Amino acid sequence: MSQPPSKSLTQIQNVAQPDEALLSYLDTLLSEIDEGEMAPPVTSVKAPSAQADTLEQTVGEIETRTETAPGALADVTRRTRGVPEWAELPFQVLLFTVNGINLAVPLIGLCGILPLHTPISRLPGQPHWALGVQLNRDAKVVVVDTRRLLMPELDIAQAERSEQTHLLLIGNGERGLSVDSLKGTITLEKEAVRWRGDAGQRPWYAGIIVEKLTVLLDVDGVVEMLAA
Amino acid sequence: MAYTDDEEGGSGPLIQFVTFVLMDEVYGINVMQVQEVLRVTEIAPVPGAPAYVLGIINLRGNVVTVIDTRKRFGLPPSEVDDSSRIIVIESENQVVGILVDAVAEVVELQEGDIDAAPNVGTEDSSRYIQGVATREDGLLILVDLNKLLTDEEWQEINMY
Repeated sequence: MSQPPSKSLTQIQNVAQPDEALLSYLDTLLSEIDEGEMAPPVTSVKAPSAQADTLEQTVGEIETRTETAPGALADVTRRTRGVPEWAELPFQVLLFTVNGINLAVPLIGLCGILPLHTPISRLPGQPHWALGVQLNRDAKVVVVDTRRLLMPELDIAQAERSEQTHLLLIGNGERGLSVDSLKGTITLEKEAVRWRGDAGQRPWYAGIIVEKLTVLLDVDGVVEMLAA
Repeated sequence: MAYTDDEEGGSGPLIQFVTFVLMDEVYGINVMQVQEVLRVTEIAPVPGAPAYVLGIINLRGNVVTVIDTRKRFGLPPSEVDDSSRIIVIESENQVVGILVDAVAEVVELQEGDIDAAPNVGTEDSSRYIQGVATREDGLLILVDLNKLLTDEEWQEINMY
């Protein structure tokens, strides 16, 4: 079913034109409306403004007023806006270090934490980032060498001297990111993070916790990397 | 920008350059691109960063990427000391910091004082040399900050 966009939707397009990311988002939104059940038309949007804040508010309004394909919408939002939905409320992150570099992972993406047992059972034909397999009760956890995965620029021979002590379980607990030390948790507001603009070349990169100068990992991105 | 035409041969508009030192050589960058000069604070390394990126700093709530200027210029690394500085510059619509051994002074040059750099290095390594100026105390190497990184590299550091 193809219908010309309503006046209000045309207004939305105009609002979004200065921002490529938002344009992409709105294109998706419009196509959903064209193909599926028509949601009640948006009857009012904020006046056009170049301010990103206003645009984000407008997008927020559109999200609440339409009921088209929420899953697809969430995905596009994650990729283009940078701020995931769960960050709209205060959220906790676990701080840790890998080879002396401070990193953080949102607790919402964490399945658990295990002490790293050595020796790890190595399997033939593993990807370069896989150190082997460790048992967690009856489940097998693939031990991911976080240094190799995230820091290909490192001299691995030198990096391997760092002692890895724990595994952060992600992706249904089937993968464990090896880390050197755990530094505790902190609670953050979304403003505390400089979120990435788009997926870019580093799918694992969600943003930087400015106060701590710490990279926040995108757990979904890491899981996608490991599945590739 | 003032215009002069003195008897010593220099002519054209006066341009101010901030000079800095790297391995005893003096370099100059256009003062208009310099935002501020900082003492070296904690530079946090970031995973996956290119070799020429030292890390990031927190500049009054903003994240600024710091470039290892020595590495960029193909010079051997050195320890940070009391005279080391981070020059915060704006280039290609981005704010970045460049780590230098020391900041020297601000000098004024006339456009006519600036000569083309001798064509000795590879095109890649010398592309960011804007020119040279002869001064009483030696050669001043003028750096075109916009060409310090390639377009792809500017995009890459924009990640942080």
